[in-house]
Amino acid sequence: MIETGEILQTMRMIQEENFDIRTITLGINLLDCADHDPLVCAERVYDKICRTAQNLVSTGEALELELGIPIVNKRISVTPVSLICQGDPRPIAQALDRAAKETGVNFIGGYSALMQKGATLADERLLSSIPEVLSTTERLCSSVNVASTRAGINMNAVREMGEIIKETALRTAAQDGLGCAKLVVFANAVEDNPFMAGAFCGIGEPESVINVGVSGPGVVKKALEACKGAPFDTVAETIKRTAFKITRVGQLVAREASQRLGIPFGIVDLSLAPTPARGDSVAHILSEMGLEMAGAPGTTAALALLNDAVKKGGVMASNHVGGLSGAFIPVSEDIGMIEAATAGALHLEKLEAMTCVCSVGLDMIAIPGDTSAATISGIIADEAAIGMVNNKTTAVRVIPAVGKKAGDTVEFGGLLGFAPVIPVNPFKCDDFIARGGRIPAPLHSLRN
Amino acid sequence: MLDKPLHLAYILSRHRILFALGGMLMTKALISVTGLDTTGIIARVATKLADMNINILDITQTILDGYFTMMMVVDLDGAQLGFADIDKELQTVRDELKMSIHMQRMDIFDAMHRI
Repeated sequence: MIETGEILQTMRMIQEENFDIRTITLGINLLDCADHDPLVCAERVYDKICRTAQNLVSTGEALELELGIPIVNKRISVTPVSLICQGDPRPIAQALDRAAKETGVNFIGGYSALMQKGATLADERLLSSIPEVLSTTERLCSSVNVASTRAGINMNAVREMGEIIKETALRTAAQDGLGCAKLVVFANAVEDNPFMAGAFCGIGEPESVINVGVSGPGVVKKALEACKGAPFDTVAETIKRTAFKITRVGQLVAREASQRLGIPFGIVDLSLAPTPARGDSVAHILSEMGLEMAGAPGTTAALALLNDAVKKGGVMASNHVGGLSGAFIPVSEDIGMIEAATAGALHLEKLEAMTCVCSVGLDMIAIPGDTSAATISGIIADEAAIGMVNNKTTAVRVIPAVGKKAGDTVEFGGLLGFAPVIPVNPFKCDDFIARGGRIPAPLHSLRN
Repeated sequence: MLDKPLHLAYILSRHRILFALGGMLMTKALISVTGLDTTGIIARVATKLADMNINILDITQTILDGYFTMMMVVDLDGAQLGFADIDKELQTVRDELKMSIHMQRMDIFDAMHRI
């Protein structure tokens, strides 16, 4: 029999501690929509998505009511578009955006290319279309994989992406560079990530699949408030137990959604994903652990403990854990990170160190509008190297704030939040980036 | 002669297994009622549930400083209405009593608090 105390604990988590299911993401395979005529391909894409996802939003809403937990987002991820597009990819982008609006999801991810070793013609066409596409669509998200532990780093793609990020920012300057908030550059991208903007449905996935992302930084922080002064063993154990409970609900929702939609269950991503709302911050967990502010010495260690404890607790709670599964540190989406960056406690270099021990990279960071494309490429190269050498996923989602400099603020609204523009090291790397070619895969990638 | 008690015990044990199975397969929901204490809360809610053929399995209730809190575990299997419709029916009780009535399936509590 469930006890009253347990019931009240669950209800408190939901009502007071911002516990929610962050997303149900439906992955849809679009390989069978390929056609040499882009308009035919676009129509097939539109039809397949509308057909497959027609009940996604209503199912999410029904589950929300029945289980009594908010299911904040319903989203769709598709096969990387460069794999299905044999001509101009732009009609496909428009079809994806239309399908998102028709099905009622708030984001659709997968306008993507996987080019860790080199670019196909389709990859190149997709890349050059990104700035236009992200400024003329509303709900489409794009990602490019430029490195992997097995393949090394494609420095040609790294150079190109610096330019593309810059151009996308210019084209969406009126909305503070919002286009760049929908674009992620990856190293070791995963095929089953349910979170945007980096979600796509990898080619190892089935015909369609349900992946769920949970979220509960507020719940973890609250649990830690009971261990003030306690040694790290207790801190780790408390986070583990909390992560278990959080992930268990994700598993329940995923199974239910899968059953009702008749679509196989893929994974639960047990990541702690913050929102700009107060009480929903990963940075505040780090503060609760004893740091004056995120960015102070000890931050990397604290994040390492958090990231690991979340995984250990969550893995017991679900039979299929995947996606990114760790702690997220998006600056504009976390009120604690915003405060730390504004106060000058958190710098780009510290964020880079933190990406070595958590599950995403440099995420939702506003940089000065006059940052050069080469410098952006340098930032990407650094993140790619961290991911490649450490056999983990890293990413870059930076937003050049056109016309703004360090200390100003950019405003995206909603879950994308707002952020201070943080300074970037002004010394140049133009000659470094101009070289191009491939940085070879590290020795330890030869595991056979 | 010796067979009879054994035979009975066998039948009883089969029934116990079925009861236990029935317990596991039951669709249980938690209904929490909160608000300012007034006369007839339990009667009103219980009558509504009985009208919908919803059996009450467990109740816990307390009044703190005039504030009423009640949690009921109910069995939804007998109800003809779907979850959303049951929730709508409870709306009339919410309006009459001016109380907060929240219903959710028990699965979420089982998932979180049991291995």
